Amino acid sequence: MLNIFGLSILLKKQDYKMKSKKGVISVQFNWIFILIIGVLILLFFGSFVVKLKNNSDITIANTIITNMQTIMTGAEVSTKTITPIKIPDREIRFSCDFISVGDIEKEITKNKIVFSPESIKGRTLLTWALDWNTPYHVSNFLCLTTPNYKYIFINSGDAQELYNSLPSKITKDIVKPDDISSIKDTGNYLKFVFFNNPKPEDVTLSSSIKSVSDKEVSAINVISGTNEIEFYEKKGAKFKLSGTAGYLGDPMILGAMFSGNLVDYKCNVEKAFNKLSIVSMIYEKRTEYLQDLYVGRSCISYYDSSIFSNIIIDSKREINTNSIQSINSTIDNLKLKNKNLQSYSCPTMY
Amino acid sequence: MKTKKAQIKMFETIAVLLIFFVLIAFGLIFYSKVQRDSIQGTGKEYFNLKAIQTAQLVSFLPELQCTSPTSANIIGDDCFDVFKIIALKDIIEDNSKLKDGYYFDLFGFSKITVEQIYPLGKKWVIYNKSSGKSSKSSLQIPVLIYNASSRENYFGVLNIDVYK
Repeated sequence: MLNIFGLSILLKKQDYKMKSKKGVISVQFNWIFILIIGVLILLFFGSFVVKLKNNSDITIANTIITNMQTIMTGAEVSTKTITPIKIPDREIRFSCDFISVGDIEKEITKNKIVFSPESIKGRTLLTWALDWNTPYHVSNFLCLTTPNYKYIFINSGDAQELYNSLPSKITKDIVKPDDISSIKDTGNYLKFVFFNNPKPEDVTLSSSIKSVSDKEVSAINVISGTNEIEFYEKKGAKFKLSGTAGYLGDPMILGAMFSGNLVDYKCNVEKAFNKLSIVSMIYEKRTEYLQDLYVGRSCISYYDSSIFSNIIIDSKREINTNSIQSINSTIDNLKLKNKNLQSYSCPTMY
Repeated sequence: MKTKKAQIKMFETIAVLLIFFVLIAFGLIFYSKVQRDSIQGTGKEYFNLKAIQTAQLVSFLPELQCTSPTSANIIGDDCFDVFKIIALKDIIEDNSKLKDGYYFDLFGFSKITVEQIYPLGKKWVIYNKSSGKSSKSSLQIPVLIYNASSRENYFGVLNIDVYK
């Protein structure tokens, strides 16, 4: 009897133990379940927020690029005016063919000639459009910069004239060749513009400029005799030649000054000469129409469409001193013939 | 009894989770719809902007602009040289490389026409490249058409149709 009673107590105890174990497992399982679901919900919302942030970044970048393209089109047509534009405080990168913000990149069309530093940061963007005439209007160059870039002209040759043509909103300075070594770091990106007297490699920069990062200081040297521009990079206290390119007219010198590097400058010059060949084709055809209209009249002797053919041929060649000087002499001839047409009251060729 | 209780509890939990996820799904559907509408709106805005940009580009195209007879560097605003119009039309027609390359890059899918209104005269289709879609944005800009030979000015309209 006692044994049976004892056994029943033992069984009850065991049953209680089992139930208590089940309870412990059930409570723990609940917490694990809550933890897993909680983590899943947190992950879901976390990833949602991250995706939203990425989307917002892409939208902002797209808006900036679209607005930049509109600004560029607008600024391009209003020549000789400098326009300060408020921009978001984001890095905008420029190359000859692309404009990019963050990971978003858009193409700059072949007709847009934009001379700009590689990277634009800050709140104010300065846009300046220059018309390029050879001697007829070919294209507008759009120059982009910020007040953070300082252009220092070394006073010799055409420096003063070019310096005066720069709007006052652009951070600029003109110094005598002897004063180069006393130029101090002002926290700006510096671009030196030499006119071959002295040559940049003969110059030693001040210790203040020497301590500035090499990427923040560069120089160009304009050699007007050969229509060439030399591009220099800073190496310590000296300038080192990185390459040479041709130029036709002052707007291209200014373009080289605003350009971030030689590659972008050369690419933009190619675009400009391509446009020159297209516009020259129009003038060639126009002159042919005028020739047909004035057959048998005195004006006919002054019309010469082959002038434009020569310009087309030269502008399609590799752009170098020879091709540019050949175009220059053709331009002089064209100017003379046009003057003659004007003096005989004939419709001019351009 | 205990099993039933546990089952009810489980159903409760599942129901709560189900409602929770249904609410999230509703939220996501609503958000995606709002986003889609916003993207469509932006697309429309961008399309109209492109049409205006094309119009601006054509208006200031050196290939068409007339220059002052006294100084080549003075460009007449909204003035097109009639010989340049004919020349550009012929060059684009004859040179498919230019039409599909340089000018397509510039104007995209669009139709650019210059029409002489007074005295009533010719109509020149300078560029025509249709995307095959009917939806378009059209702009008309009054222009002056200058004839260098007769030294006369005519009134004209620059029509720009930009296709989607």
